[in-house]
Amino acid sequence: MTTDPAHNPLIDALDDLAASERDAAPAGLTDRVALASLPALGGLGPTMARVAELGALDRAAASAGLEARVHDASRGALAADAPALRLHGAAGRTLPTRRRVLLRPAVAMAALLGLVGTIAVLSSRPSATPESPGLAGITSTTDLEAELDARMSTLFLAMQDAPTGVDEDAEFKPEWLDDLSTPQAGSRNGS
Amino acid sequence: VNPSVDSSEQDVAAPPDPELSLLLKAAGAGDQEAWRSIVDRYARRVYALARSRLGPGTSGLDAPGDPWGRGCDAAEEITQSVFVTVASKLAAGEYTEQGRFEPWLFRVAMNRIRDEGRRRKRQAAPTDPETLSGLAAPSRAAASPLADSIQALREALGLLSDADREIIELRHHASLSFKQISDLLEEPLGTLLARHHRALKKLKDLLTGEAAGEDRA
Repeated sequence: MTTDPAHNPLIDALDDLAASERDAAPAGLTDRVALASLPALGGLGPTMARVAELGALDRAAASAGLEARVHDASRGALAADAPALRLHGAAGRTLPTRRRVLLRPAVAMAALLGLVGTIAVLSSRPSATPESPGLAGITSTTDLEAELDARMSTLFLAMQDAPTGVDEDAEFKPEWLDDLSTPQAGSRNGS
Repeated sequence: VNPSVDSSEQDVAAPPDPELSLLLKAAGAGDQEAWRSIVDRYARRVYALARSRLGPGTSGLDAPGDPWGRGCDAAEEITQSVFVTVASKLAAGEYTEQGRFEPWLFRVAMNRIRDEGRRRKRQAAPTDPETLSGLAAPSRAAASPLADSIQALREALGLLSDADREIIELRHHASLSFKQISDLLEEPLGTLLARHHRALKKLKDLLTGEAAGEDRA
């Protein structure tokens, strides 16, 4: 605490206030602060190091399973219900619409194992007439976002029922998600 | 109350702390005990500064089951974040102790606090008045005269400009010397002392003004 030889009442009161703020520190604060910063210091003890190692293994396993399920489920769901949103990067095809579609990460998908992914789509030409039956009637970004929310919900439900076995062809590639965030010139090929 | 008597010039130039230098060197080399000593020294000061700048916390105001932990005490979050940053820099050899550890530590803290303040402004949302009244009533009923005076001072502090409040909080909550504050804010010492004096004067005026208002009521 700051010492003040003149015993100025205002200064004393400020020191009391500061002391009350320090006293308000929750129990175990310094323990938690020290522990939280140990990894940054490169100094985890053997027990904590093992915990961190196990956590990393769990995350890796969860991630691998999640990626497979996301791909498998989304491929089927998109083919059946949302042709305009087909993962063109995965299949090497352009988007089956005249609209220039801007796809961006926006919708969080909480997955089975607690991980979160994001996929979303935005339109950049509100005046264009959508040719895809999946986007018929959508004339504004708001409409598109609402439609996407609904479809992502469908996707998420499909993910939960997706089989875990994945063949080589179905292997997930992270760059597919990158493709989703890249504006693409529209194709007149409606297939 | 005469705020001018708190110049405390005798601690304007704090001498280097040889023990701290050794602790920092050891911590940077991975000595967990040394690191723990550093945390013990400073964590509560960083916490007090963050708590004063951001308010007593939001734990009662957030919706139950908030998955992102916004209900956790932001001051503790910031304190942890500050020490993680400091530990990283020490371990990477990016900080060399030259008697300026505290200004550096609290500069990191102030940056985190400002970030949190900006984040709160962006995400500000109305709070149910019933929630607020339910929280305020018990604390007021249980308040002691000392607690009342501290609360009045806290409220008056909140009415100061950010610059005035900053210098008072760095001086008292963070317990920095004027020389250290000068280093932190990169301002001349004389300017800083004058700013502190003016800030105390404003604080005193706010407190006496409040008392006069209560008398009239």
